[in-house]
Amino acid sequence: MRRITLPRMGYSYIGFRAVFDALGHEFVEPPPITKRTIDLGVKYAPEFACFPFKITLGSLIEALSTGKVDTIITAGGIGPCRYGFYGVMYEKILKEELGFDFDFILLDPPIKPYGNMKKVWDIVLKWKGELSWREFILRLTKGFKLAWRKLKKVEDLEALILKKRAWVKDISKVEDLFNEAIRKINLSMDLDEVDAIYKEAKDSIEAIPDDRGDVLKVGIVGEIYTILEPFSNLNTERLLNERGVEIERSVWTTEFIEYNVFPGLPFPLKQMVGWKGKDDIVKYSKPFLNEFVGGHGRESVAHTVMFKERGFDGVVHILPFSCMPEVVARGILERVGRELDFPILSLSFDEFTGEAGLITRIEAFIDLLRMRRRMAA
Amino acid sequence: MKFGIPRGLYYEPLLTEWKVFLEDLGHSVEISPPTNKLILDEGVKEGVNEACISLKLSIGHAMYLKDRVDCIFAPRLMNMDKYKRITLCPKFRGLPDLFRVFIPNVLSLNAYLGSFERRLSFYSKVGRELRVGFLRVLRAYRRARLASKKVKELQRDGFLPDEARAWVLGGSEPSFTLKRKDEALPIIAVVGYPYIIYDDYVSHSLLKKLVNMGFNVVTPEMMDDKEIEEALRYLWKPLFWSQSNKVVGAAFKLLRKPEIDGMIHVSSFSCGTDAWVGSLIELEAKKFEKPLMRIVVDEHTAEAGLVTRLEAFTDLVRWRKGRAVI
Ligand code: SF4
Ligand code: SF4
Repeated sequence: MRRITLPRMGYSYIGFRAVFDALGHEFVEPPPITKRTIDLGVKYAPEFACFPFKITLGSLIEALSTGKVDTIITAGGIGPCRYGFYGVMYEKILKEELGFDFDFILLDPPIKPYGNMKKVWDIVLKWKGELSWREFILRLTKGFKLAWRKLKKVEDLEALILKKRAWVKDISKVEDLFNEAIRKINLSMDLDEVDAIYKEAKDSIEAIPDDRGDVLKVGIVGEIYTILEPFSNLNTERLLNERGVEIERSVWTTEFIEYNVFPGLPFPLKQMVGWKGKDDIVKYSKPFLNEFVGGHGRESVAHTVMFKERGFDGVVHILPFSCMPEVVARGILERVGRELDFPILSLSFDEFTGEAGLITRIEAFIDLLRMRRRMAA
Repeated sequence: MKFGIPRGLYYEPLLTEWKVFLEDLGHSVEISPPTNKLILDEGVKEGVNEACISLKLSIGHAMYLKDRVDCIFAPRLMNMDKYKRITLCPKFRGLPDLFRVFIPNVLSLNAYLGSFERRLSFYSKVGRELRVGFLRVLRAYRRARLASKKVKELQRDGFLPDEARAWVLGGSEPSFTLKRKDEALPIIAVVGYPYIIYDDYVSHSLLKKLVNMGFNVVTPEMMDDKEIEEALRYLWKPLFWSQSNKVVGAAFKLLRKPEIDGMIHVSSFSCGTDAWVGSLIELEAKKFEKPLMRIVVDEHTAEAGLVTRLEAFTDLVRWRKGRAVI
């Protein structure tokens, strides 16, 4: 049995726990991100590393310091953005510089020159451990199924509160219901139970009466980590909600997995999971951005255009400072905004971002959106 | 038609290759001039917030060409390595579309240039776009390759890219070269992206300064491609960006050479790839106990501050070398 942890990103840990539990490993939940996490990451990460790298490094240091972890798993990658090299850097810093001792499992796709089938196979063997093949595959499928259902339901609830919080004055009731449901889903071991918890939470959140009007509609696009981890964006979404802005996110963990893992699956599996392709992204990002630029750069552009078509009031673009794909997207979004006459607010985050400045920018943006609504009416 | 090729992110020997190719097909080509204050200011004003200086410069150079030419020639550089999956920094992949934010007339095709077949397919696509037959494309391609190979060789010998191009295109032999003249002088390796270290305006003529201060200089462009590639096996896996692999490979190789006395890594503020490149080089330099200085440039870098740091560093290098001899 291994004691495994992973860097924290939003609620993705719920899915990982389901998989590793099913395989009979112990999953050590990474502690929530705090100021201390960020300080640790900033201290040991390269100065110009991505903000998400700094936070996740801090998160791993905190997890390792508890002494409860003997294995870290991360996904590798093949670029073109920096993410694919996170694993190598984690290992260098945690082992060589900080002297932690642990087993590091890096999942690189078998694509030359970055990885090969043998490396993938070795990892499969490590996961299998003592189990028989039959048992291993059964448990793995069961684990994935449960993980997927949990992630989907958690995301549906998140999507719900990102809307609901804009309509009620007292958001604490909404959040309490939500947090309770998340806690229960995380602990549940059964598909039907997950569904039931979801249904109950959904109904009771929806039942809370709306007591606000004139709510704006804003889409969120940008870099996945900074969007999904509220602490890294100083809870921008909640700040918007509290000011009467309903939000729809365009980036989700499950969607990330669909887009990044599914296309690489071998023949029968790909069809089994129902991979649909990325045609809409390609279609909507034209003519503004005509190539994949890594990360969610192209999605940011495409989703902005889609939000415009669906009649949203504006878009908030969230990115970590100096993020490569999103900096490209940011340049392109200028043209999108100009040509489609669509307000876009780019917010970039790093360890120096202050809340006061952020609120000023958000409020100015909201004023602009309200004014545009009045002018249109 | 008159084409313009902006500098900034496009560098030698690609500039020569494209210029010769397009001219051979009967078009005229203007390469934007070396960076100057006006271009930099324009790029900073229009360029993307928080982008690296090179991307901002690219925009500045393209804006300079905008009204002087009919069309900006801006291939989307996708690959320069034998492995097709090794690509370039996302800024390169988005570059043509970033030009289009300001400039309507941009000719751009995806450029995979890592092997003969890929190059040929790229150039024939360009030929098709310009409505010329395959045989003419082939002839133009051969001339272009010949010229660009010559430029590359001259760069290997230590000539600066602009002067090498001028020479190959019919000018006279340049007087300045980085080639080692005096064996006794200490050697400083300068590693960094070609569009930064050879841009005299952005790097404040770092290379020339070092030579004038009495050093021999080596750059990644002066090394053998094989050597660089070999040195990459010291990494767990290569980076995803051609230009970064070249810098890391060169740095790793040079740090292992006893005759190298010190290394300077020049990078751009807010450069994405250099977050990794910089720290990989740093860790390696520590292992081999070589003096290393990192210079981060942006539009605000002041020459005076740079000179002070340079002097301190070169003193250290000289002192260590003197001590080693005694
Ligand atoms: S998307 Fe941006 S922040 Fe995320 S790894 Fe890539 S460069 Fe870094
Ligand atoms: S490698 Fe760095 S300097 Fe070059 S384009 Fe990319 S971010 Fe800019």
